[in-house]
Amino acid sequence: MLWLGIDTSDKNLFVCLYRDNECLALTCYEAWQRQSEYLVEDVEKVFASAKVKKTDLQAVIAAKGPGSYTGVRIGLTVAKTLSFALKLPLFLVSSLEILQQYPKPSICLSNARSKRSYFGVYEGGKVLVEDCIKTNDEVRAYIAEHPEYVLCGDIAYLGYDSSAYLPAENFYRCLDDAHRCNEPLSASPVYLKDDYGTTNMKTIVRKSIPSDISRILEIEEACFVPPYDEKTLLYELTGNPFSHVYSALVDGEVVGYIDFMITFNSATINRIAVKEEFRRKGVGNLLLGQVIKDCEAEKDEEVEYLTLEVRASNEKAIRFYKKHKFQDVTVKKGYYDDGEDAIYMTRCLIHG
Amino acid sequence: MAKILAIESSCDETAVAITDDGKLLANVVATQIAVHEKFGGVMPEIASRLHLENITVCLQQALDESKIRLEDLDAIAVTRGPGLIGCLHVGLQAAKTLAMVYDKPLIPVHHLAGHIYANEYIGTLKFPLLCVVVSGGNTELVYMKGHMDFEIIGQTKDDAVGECFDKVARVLGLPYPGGLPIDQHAKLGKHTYNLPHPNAGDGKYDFSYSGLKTAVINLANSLKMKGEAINVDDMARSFQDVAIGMVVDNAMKAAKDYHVVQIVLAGGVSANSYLREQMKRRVEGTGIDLVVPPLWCTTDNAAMIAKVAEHLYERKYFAPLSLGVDPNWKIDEQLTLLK
Repeated sequence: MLWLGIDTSDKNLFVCLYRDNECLALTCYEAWQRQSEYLVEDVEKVFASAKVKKTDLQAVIAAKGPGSYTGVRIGLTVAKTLSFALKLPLFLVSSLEILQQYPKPSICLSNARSKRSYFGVYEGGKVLVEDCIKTNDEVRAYIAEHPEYVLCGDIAYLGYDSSAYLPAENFYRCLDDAHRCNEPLSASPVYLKDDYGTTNMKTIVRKSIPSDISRILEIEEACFVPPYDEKTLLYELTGNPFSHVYSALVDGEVVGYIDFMITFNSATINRIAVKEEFRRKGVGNLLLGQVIKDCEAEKDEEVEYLTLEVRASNEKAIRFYKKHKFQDVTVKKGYYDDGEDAIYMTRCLIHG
Repeated sequence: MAKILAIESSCDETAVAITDDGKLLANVVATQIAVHEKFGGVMPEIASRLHLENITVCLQQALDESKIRLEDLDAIAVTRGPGLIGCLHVGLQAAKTLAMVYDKPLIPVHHLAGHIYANEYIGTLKFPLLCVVVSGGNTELVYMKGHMDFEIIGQTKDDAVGECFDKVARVLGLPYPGGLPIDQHAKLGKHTYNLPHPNAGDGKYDFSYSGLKTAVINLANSLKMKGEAINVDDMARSFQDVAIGMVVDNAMKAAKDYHVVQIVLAGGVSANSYLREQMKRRVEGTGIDLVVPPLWCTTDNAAMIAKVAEHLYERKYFAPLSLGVDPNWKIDEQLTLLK
């Protein structure tokens, strides 16, 4: 069988043309961020150098991730389109699986950035640990516990020697029913949803949407006296033209949010809250960062300062604001309904 | 003429079209709008993912509809820019792969040139012409002495007009995108609010929208402080009069100075009914021909990319397989890319 293999899931650009297990042509080099330009040209070159007609091709196999999102998409778009254009079977393999040193037990790794790794363990035809994301510390611990396993991949980023990169043999082994894609038209990569550990969770901040409301109200109940009711919150989200409301999400769950208003040259923080179990993990910093971002993006008028009121008894919050360069300006006596004083704090945004 | 397959994936529509001697045989558009609505705007990573999921499905559908085989095509065209980089990559790889497999020429097309040439589906372009490109990302006056010859003679100094519609819609509590709701409310209102005509500065035909946007926001603010309600219909009307008025005034001024015989509207904001009406009124009696695109051409599609590609095919304007995307490609570089 004449087959073409493609891997662009990390910084390499790998293309090979094989007849069964005999290599007819192969190209492999580092092409970080240039794969979009070179890949198709290289596929053409591989056919030319093997003196094989493209229409004689019988199968396409490609790495489907995890890896660089853009890189994986480039390789998979080409593989899918080839399979579509020539009506060929499409085989998809894990980008980690093709790194293994068959048949030894292999810890396959690639750099997921932010001190994390894509991690999978393979032995022979078997998967010992499914592909996942681990922090580099967790990876090192796993390696220490399994000294007999071979380390595979471009792992200089972890301080280990990188192994040889030979995906073709693994590709050949994977031309089986288990790896065949049943719906090549709708084939898509494995992006690997982040496995958010507690030490290195990935937080997304985005504009709040009405379906966040029930979660935000839960946080309100836990953090504020009196809490916003649903009507007030909905108005802040959809009715009040000056308010900006953002949610912080971890693994798809709303764990914090901020509500602020930009009016003329100042911005006022009405609410900022993070769920108890997600505090002290940088979520608040991200939310506050969003205020600054929006203030800087305001083109109509330069936003000069941020203001807020905080309960005099809320020492943790006051420390948080002070850490973020807020200064207390004055005490507003009996500001809250229950008679408690508010500390009025401001932060200057101009002049550094 | 030729059989051309075109791919467009610059933003949130995956589109494939096939034309034969200029006749549109298939025009497939897989829109992602419902997905992005949830986020209140286009999320680039999600858009890129959806393009990859949709691309070969769209290609298959276009082949089925047109009953054309890939082998029979004469060229593959693709949007090379401007647009979202991750999205452009998907269309480009698919186009390059098809071109490579069947040894077909590859034609790189500018997205806005597509919007301009979409008008060829309903009329003939006559030169010299002035093109008014108005959308969420662009506000440009493009002068054309002949086919594929683009010269930008006026552009916005700050916000695009479509962007300004969206912001004002938000202040008035209208949904996103703001174009259609403002258009509809304006029809019910009167021009009662006094808004400034912003000065765009040096450029003779340049635009400025940030001042107008600020004026609306400040006015809304001060009414709110006084406890007065904003009349949404009247505000929409007052705003639209000024915003569209600036487009119409600049376009007419440039049309006169450049002695054009035709004015062509293009881009998402060309769907605005007041713009269409005003332009029709203003060209009356001037001898200038006005081409208004059909509504399907004001949104992204690949049919318009195929239209540009027909002209480039005749010029044998073919790119090598090492072609890359350019998210910031300028329209006046459409023909200079391969020189």
